Amino acid sequence: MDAAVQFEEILAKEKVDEIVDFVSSLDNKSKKAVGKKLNGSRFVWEYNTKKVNQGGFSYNQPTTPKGTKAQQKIFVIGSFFCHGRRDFSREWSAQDFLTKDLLDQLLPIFIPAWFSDYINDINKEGWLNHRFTYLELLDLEEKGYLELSPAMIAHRIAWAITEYTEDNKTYYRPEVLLRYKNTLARDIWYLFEYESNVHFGDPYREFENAEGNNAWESAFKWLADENKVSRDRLLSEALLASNRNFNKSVSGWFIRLFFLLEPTEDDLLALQSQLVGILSSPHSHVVNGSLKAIKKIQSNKTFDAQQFIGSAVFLLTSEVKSVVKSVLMILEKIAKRNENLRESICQSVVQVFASQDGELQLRAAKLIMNYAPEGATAVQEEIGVYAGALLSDAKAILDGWLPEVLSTAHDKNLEPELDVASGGEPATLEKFPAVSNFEELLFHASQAFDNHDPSHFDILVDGLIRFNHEVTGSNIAKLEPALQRAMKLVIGDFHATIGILDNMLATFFTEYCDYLAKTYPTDALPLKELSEDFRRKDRHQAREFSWYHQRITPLSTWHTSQNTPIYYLFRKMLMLALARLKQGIQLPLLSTPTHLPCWIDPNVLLERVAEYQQANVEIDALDFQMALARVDNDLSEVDYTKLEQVSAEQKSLLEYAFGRTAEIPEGNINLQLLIAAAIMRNDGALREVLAEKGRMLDAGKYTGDFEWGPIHEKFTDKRYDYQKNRYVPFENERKEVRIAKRAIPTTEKPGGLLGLFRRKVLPGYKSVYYSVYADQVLKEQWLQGVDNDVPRFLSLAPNNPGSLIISIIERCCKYSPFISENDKRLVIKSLEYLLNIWKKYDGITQDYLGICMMCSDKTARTIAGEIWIAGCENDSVDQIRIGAAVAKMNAFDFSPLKRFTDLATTIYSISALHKKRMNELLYACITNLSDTPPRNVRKVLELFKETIANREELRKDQAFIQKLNGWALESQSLAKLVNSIL
Amino acid sequence: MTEAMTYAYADASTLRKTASANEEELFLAQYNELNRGNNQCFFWGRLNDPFTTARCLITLSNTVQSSFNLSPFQMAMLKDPIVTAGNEKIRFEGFSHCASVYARVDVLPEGHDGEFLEAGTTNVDFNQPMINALSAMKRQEDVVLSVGPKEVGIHKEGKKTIERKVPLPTKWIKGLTTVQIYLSDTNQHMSLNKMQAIQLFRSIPKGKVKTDYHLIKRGTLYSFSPVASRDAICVGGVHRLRLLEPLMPMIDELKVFAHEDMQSTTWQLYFGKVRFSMSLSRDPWRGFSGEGAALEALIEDVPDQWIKKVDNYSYANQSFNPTMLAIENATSVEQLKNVTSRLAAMGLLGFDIDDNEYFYRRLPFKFERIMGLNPRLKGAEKLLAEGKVTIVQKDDFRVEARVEGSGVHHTVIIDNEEAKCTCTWYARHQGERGMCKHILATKKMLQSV
Repeated sequence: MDAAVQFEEILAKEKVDEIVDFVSSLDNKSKKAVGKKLNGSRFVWEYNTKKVNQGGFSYNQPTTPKGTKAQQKIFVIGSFFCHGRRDFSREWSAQDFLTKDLLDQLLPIFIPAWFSDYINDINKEGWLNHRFTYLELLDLEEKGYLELSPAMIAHRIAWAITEYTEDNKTYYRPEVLLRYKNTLARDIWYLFEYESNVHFGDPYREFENAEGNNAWESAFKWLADENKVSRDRLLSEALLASNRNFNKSVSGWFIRLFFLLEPTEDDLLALQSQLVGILSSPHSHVVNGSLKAIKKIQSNKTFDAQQFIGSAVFLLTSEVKSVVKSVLMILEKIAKRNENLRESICQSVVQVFASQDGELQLRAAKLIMNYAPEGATAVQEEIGVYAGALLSDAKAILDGWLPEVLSTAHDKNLEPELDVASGGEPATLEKFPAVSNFEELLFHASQAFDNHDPSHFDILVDGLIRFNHEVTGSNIAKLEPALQRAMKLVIGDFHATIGILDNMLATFFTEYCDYLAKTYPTDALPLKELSEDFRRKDRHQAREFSWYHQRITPLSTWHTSQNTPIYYLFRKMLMLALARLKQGIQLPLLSTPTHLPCWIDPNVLLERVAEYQQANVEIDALDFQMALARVDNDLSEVDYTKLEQVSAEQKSLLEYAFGRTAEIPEGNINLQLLIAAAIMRNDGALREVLAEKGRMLDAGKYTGDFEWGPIHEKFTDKRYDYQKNRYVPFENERKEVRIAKRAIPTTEKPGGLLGLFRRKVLPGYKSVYYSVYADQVLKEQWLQGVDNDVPRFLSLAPNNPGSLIISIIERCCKYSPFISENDKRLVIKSLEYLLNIWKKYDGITQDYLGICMMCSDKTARTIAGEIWIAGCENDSVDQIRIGAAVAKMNAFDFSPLKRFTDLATTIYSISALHKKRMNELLYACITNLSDTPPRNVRKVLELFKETIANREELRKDQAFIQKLNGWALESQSLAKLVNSIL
Repeated sequence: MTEAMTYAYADASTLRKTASANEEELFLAQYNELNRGNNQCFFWGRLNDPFTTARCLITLSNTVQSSFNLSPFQMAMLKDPIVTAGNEKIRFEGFSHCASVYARVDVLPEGHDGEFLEAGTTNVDFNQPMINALSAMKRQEDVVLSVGPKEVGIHKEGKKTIERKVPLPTKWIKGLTTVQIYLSDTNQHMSLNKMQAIQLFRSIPKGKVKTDYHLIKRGTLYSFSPVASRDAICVGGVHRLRLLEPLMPMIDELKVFAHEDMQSTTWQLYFGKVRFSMSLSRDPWRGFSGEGAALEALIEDVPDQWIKKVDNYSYANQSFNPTMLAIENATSVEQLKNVTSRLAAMGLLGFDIDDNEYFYRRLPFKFERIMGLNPRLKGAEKLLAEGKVTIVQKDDFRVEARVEGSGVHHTVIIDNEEAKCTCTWYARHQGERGMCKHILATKKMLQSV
């Protein structure tokens, strides 16, 4: 009978007992035939499935295996004899059948050529694969069935001395190491050459028969003590293994083992070459271990100091303070004894000044001061290179070593670096990249909904209005890809960089395409078909799944889950744009920016108002408000003759907004528009207007100027009591930032039934009340996507973002660490945009900078630092408010001062100007900090000390001196520091 | 997907210390994909700065083992760096698993004292014994480096050739294509001394960095800032630079190069006799392998004889400057750029920024394989084969085409040098990551017309 047929029969009838005899009798040709048959019998590893419909999804659930256990075993044995390694390894489940017992049965009959490689590669399958123990493998090797690789031995022997029993008990079995001769002679040394889990000390593991949990530490100690292996070799190998590019834990374990073996001074001296060698390890634990050993022998005559200096030089720039301290200590002792090495030591030690740690710098400076040979030019030159990084204490000690030329260089270094490019005003000079023809509009429309840039929103709306007349004939169908993108976005193609506004913009575009389809039924047929296709899909989804609600909705009813007011401002503008498109009005919206990121040239605004007047197009109140909010503050070159072309009402409003008159314009002017004009003046006119209208309480709503600060309070919380099976109250504490907002009775927005009727029934009623300032409120419960909208929110009123900022503080900065990734991202995005539009803001926006300097995210802090750097150069940051905000954030230990000091250390030394401004900020901060010294105040004082320019002036400030002296009473080290300041 | 190539190793790479002369020999196994039977030794000689070379090689090995966007499970396979000996230099190069980092160690002519018997490329097996030997390397040691099998006597057990299948991932082949093109469009932006470099590396944020960082200079200080500004170098995934940290205390100088569109940055560390370069892709999740920098060159029709000619020229000279070569041979720089791109795409050329010239690498990839690896090229071919490209308008400078996409028709406009498409790929990347398949198909169709 044909071998393949025979095999098929054995498999089908599950004749397990016959398979070994059968395959061992096959010649190569028959094995090949059986191998082919095996490939066709892989179904034995498969599972039967049943289709399950659950939660609107359907999937195939595995039920019973297609092959029996006997068939699977037959398959494995057949495969072992007849397959090559690749085919044999294909079935993962089959590997588990290849046990030691089965191998003992098969290997005396047949050893596949690939067997050694197969076994040696098991450890490459990952740490989870533990097939075959060390003893099993060694047994197979002893019998000559395979040749084990060193890596495999190291991997398996690491687990050899720990025995896990079936009753979940763990035993320490070092005696296993004595069973085979090769173990101590060869195998344990592979643990030092190949990375393994030798260091594995499970903290939850307890041996039934031994103390501790790290078996190998005890085992090596035992082997050394019992003289079963060479202790000298163990010491040497442990050192070498600590620097073999193993991971941090393994490397650290070997250095620990080294010290566990208790090396004597003679041992250390004999191994000094290896000890110096491992100083190049990337792991500080290893380096510290080596330094600890070297400290013990550095005074010995046979210690090679020259070799140590050569290697230790590279450690002086280490970020690990303890390493640098140890190296400095050893170098100091060497310098003390060896006069001829002093110059080279001092020259090397200068590198420590790259660190901004005062203590290390002081130590290095003292070493140079004490041991540098007089007039050593090499040392002096080296100090010159690092002079810019010297802190005041080190500089004072090294005064004599600072070359004369340095003082000039130093002063130069203190000059403000005006070429520092970090955003700010120049951004206003860049023209707004409006589209200039239909082709540009076409390509822009395809990318406008992906939020590549905040300006894309305005570019698309503006482009459609101005080139609507060209969207005819064959051009209409070209918008097909853009419509497809918009439709996909609306029905749920969400990705991390898009915002809720992009969904709104896409809805706007789909509605515009609907309008095209109605107006040009033939040319817009592809758009219509595409639109219907998506709408069908949307309806189908809504029918099919209960969690899905129809997503393609009209723009007029578009809303967010919490009806966040700020989104209605954008919706209103898009509704206006849609109406203009349908009316065929090509005049750009008044609020379309003329310069990036969102500024409007005042002259262009006047021109636009005049054009509206000439074309007899009514100006929308919100559009006008937004335009005023975006006008560039530089009004020096405004051509007021253009005002002659506008109506008297608009003229009086614009003259008032542009500061040409202090008279509040009369007539039937929309109140919110009047308020926007008053805010644009930025001279307190807002209060006048609100006073006249009897709405003084509302001022904070428009400017965000509310009291804020962290609070620490007790409150009654609830927790689940498992005994009582219900929630029970308990007293808890909380720290959070609170805004002292007053409840503002609204007079304009009627509530109750009347309000409901007007809002729901009267079309466009709500538009009367839109305010570009007061409506900048975040109400969304979940901020996903809102973070990507924040730049566009800020672009609404870049001159006065206070009302939005207070909302961001309330929503995202409430807790000391950000409570969600979205909160953090929102703050970062807001800071990034503020950096581009930053100007001399009032009030809360300055506080926000201080708050962000104390926030829990480093990126946010660094961007706040960038704003501060640029703001110092154009005098647009208020050091007093920022300093006070930093101190306020530290109240009740709400936010640690370290966050601020880490940032301040990197930004104060840019120039003399920044140093001066930092001093002002720190002064404001210190005066506002609590009377008991807050944690980490030392670093604040150190920074203050570094930045002081005029001590005499400071000594006259009694309140300040009193505060510092009060702190000095609390700690001796602070007292020393305070003394050095005053 | 992994391309399995069979290499014939004469021996596993080892570093040996001969007892008598206290000499260490770095012995690199040789492979030859086409198995030409070329068993010549490429290089044999002493290393003049073995300690630095060893530390650089360990960093290279760490780079090759690192991954910035793959799970540890995907990282299971270790890849072996490529070694090229020729033109008085020995170069070791490789990619991280995710192909977002390309690293190269150049042992310069002063860095060795030996003999180049034949220019060639091999594959060094960075196994644990090799790392152990490198880690134990000390400063004043006499170390001999051998690239390629040197002599039969090394093998005490007889002439045993180890057949190994080294998985050379598709990512590497594609990455080699792109990285050389980026490097050739790279300019030096900054030069930092040791102190500045150390202070700069201290400003690298901790942990995995998701946002872009920008290398800026303020006064004499360099730092990383999350804010973009004028003259700053944009670095995505700045944490990848931490691979260089162990080398920083040893450097003489650090030079930073950036691609003109900031698609890659190159960080070159100078140690006198040895140089270490690390190129980072624009983002850690965008390996060099996925970029389409070479696409434009690959669709151009270049005569085979040209490719052969430049291939021979490169092999004979080992390095060349493409502009100079174009001038010397009175041919257009553009055409030569296409030829060099093809040779680079075949893995034959690497680029040395310092010398501003290509160097020859003897890796016998086949051009057809490169073409087959590129999904956008394949997509373009498919569009043409299915007749989905229609030229709507064509004059001397402007072409407009309609290309059928998934459910919609895209508009492609090629206006002089600039090409635009309405598809999502173009909309998202604006051509920064190479052309989309619609533009490629249109260009290809124009060539055939």
